[in-house]
Amino acid sequence: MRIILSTLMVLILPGVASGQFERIIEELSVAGVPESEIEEWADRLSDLAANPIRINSASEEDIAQLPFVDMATARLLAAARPFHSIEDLGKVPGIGGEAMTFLEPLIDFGTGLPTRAARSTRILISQNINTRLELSRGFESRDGARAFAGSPLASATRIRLSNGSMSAGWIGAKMSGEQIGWNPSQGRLGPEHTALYFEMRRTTAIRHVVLGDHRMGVGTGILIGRSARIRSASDPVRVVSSLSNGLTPHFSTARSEFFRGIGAEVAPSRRVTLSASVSARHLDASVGFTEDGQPFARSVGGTNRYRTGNEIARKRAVREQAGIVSARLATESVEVGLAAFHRELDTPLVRSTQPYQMFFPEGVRARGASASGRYSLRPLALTGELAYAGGWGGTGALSMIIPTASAVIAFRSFDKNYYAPFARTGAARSSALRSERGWYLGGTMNLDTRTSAAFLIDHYRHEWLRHGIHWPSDGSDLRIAIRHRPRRWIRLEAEARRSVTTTGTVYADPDMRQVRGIGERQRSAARLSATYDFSSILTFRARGDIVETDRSNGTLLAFDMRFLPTPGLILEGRIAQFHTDDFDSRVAAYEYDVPYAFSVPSLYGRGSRSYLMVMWRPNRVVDLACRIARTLFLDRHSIGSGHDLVASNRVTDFAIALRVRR
Amino acid sequence: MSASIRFLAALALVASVAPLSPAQPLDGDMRFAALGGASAAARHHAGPTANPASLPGLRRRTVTLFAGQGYGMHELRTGGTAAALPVGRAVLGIQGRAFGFDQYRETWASAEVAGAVFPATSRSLLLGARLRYHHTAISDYGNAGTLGLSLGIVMPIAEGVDAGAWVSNLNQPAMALGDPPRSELIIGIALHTIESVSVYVDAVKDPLFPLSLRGGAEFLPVPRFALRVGTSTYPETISAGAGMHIGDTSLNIAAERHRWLGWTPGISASVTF
Repeated sequence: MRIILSTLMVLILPGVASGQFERIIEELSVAGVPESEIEEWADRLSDLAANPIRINSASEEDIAQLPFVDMATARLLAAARPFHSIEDLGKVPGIGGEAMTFLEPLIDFGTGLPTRAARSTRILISQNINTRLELSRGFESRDGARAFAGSPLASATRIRLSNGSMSAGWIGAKMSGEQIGWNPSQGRLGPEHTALYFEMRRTTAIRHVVLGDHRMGVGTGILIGRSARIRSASDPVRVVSSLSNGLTPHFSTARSEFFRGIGAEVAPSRRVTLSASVSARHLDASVGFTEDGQPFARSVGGTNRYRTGNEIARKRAVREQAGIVSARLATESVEVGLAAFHRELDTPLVRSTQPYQMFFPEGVRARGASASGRYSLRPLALTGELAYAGGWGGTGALSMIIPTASAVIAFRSFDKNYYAPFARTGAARSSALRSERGWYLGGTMNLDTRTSAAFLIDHYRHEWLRHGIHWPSDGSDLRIAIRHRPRRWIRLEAEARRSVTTTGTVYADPDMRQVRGIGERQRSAARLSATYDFSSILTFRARGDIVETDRSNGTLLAFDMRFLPTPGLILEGRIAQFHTDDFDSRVAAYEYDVPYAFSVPSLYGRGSRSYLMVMWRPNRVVDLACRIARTLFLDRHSIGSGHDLVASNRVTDFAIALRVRR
Repeated sequence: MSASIRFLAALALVASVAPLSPAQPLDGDMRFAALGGASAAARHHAGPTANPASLPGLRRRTVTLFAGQGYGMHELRTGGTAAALPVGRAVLGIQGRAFGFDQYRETWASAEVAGAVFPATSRSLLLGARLRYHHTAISDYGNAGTLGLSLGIVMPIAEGVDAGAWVSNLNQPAMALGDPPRSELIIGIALHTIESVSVYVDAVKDPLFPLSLRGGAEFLPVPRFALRVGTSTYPETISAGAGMHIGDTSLNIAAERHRWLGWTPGISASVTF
């Protein structure tokens, strides 16, 4: 037992002590993983550190729990066992890459059954509080109509229990200005935002059940699910050649896509998985009324699906009931899936007479079905999905992965009437996938043992009109990234991007009449960063960004420091100066944040941004993190708008997070 | 140029420079002024435009005097002194500097401390902190002062390669209400990989201005004599200079040409004892 514990400590502590988890979170962010899922990774990484995946004996599903590892990768790893070190993993074709080195604390290279710790009851309780130190206008009491009902503090409490194959979680969250306590309008006690799930994983035929909030990923994600954002992906090949990972609990109060109901996966045989989800929830909607007082919806929100009782009472929302079924057959080289959804609203959708309005099925019902597949003939793989949802849509990708390089070419096409309300992929990032055609080319190369390069080209065209863009439009993205390690302790990263998009605009004709038209907008950005591990306890990072658009320019220079003065204590800080001509030339800069929080501020104008974070992990039970971040603007006298208006040229955000786990 | 035109031009120039501007052209040691002002990763450097962490390289007591004349106008003269005093494992520094003319006078007085630490490694990390009092006096208008804190580091990253970073006025002091606090973040690298040649490159970010790159090269044709050239992108300047080292004394001269405003000459002398 002592040997096992010692082994675990050796495996866990390097990651904890060096802040490796924060690097994984950052990599996930760069890879385009949505914010709400990154929030969940804070827990999952802790779980994995406490119970590393026994790579030499774990099931493919368990291996796929690791970050950056999908089912296809998990199968590759399972087939290539045994492994003795993280370097062995890197030798598996398609597994290489720097991301794998981050996984070392999460993997146990021993053999045998899971440890006793994995089967014991574990509890996690966390409390996050954050607030802005400068009071915004909404909190002034001089005008009752302006004052918020609650305090400016935002709070989130998380409780999670797990025992072997079962786990349950609850989050109660309060945003700035909301109340905690008895809420007479709702007739209930407690915070406004809640998320709840109960999950059971078994090795029997009923493999996985989630009761409460959950997500479903099917096939390539064009009908149901969400792929990583292709344009910001750090691995441009895997992001379009992977299939979704199925059912997962949604443990976040971030406004994002999830289902509220019950989801289940059944495996009648080793190769076959059947999944189903039934859910009911409210969606943000633009609701109007007919002359005889009947409600109708002009549009239904894409992402603002997180609605509390209070919000629903205050705003217009429609109730949605949805059912999803899917089946998957997976063998060593072939994976085939079928999926279908049915959605019903309590308020009918009515199309606008405006020609540029979105296309969606009128009425209360929407249905869709798809067939997806993946055929692996190493080193080649063919991935695709064909779907019907009011119209036809499909995607296909041919990828090749060899130890020193990978490449993919992919196509996608969706009819005018294709409407997949549960899909978030392709060029559409914040709304449902529709009316899009495009091709994609991506690749990675290991130029030598210390240098790797990645690129992607994505071209898309919207054959039909979109909101605010009154003509068919197109766009393209180009991204090139190079990583180089001249020494073991120095990491250089360079990245260049260029995007061209079509925007709606208004021209004046010779008679000075306003004419709607389209224009082209170009944006180029370059980033250079250098990370230097000065010693085992001290890391520096410098970063410079340059952004250029048709009309404006922006620059940012940042310097980061990470210091571990004693085991369990991490100090992290940044000083950044920025200067942009306008919002279009803004610079987004990822920042380390307290657990469960996520910070990528978009900096624009002229000013400086700095933060300091202290993370204290005195033992394996408690960790405490505290962060203060300040943005100072030299060209503004007020920040924000409406109730959030701060009558100052600086804003200071303070956050604290306490986590207890046993 | 008539006296009145010179006076107006001088006023316009000084008005364009905020009171907490980190430096004027050719402020400080002319060795680095000739290198385009790139000095963030330099060691053995004391002066108002130096990274405060550069002090520990000075093993002996050092006094530097410097003077310059912005664009050839006596109204834009700058001059001052910097002294470094090694005390135990630390180095203390003091500086004084004046800029302007009788109608507009800007004065700095600084105290700084720097030292080397070895965080879980045998390699040294140089740290420095500077506290500077900024004072501005405008004739028939008034005067004001404030304190600014600057922090810096210099570290080796490979054989013959140093990196440095420092931020000025970290506490973002303001001279008066509505006066935007000025703060610069400077990150630089110094290459000494070729014998007799050193190259310095800095990236400088002041929130009020676009990113500026500064760079320069120093060549020693003979051990005691150095030739230097440098450039910066914002403002667009080129610079050149020379230095001579005799015994405990060194003498450096530099000249900088601004794309529009012309030449600025400067001279500095250092004595170690």
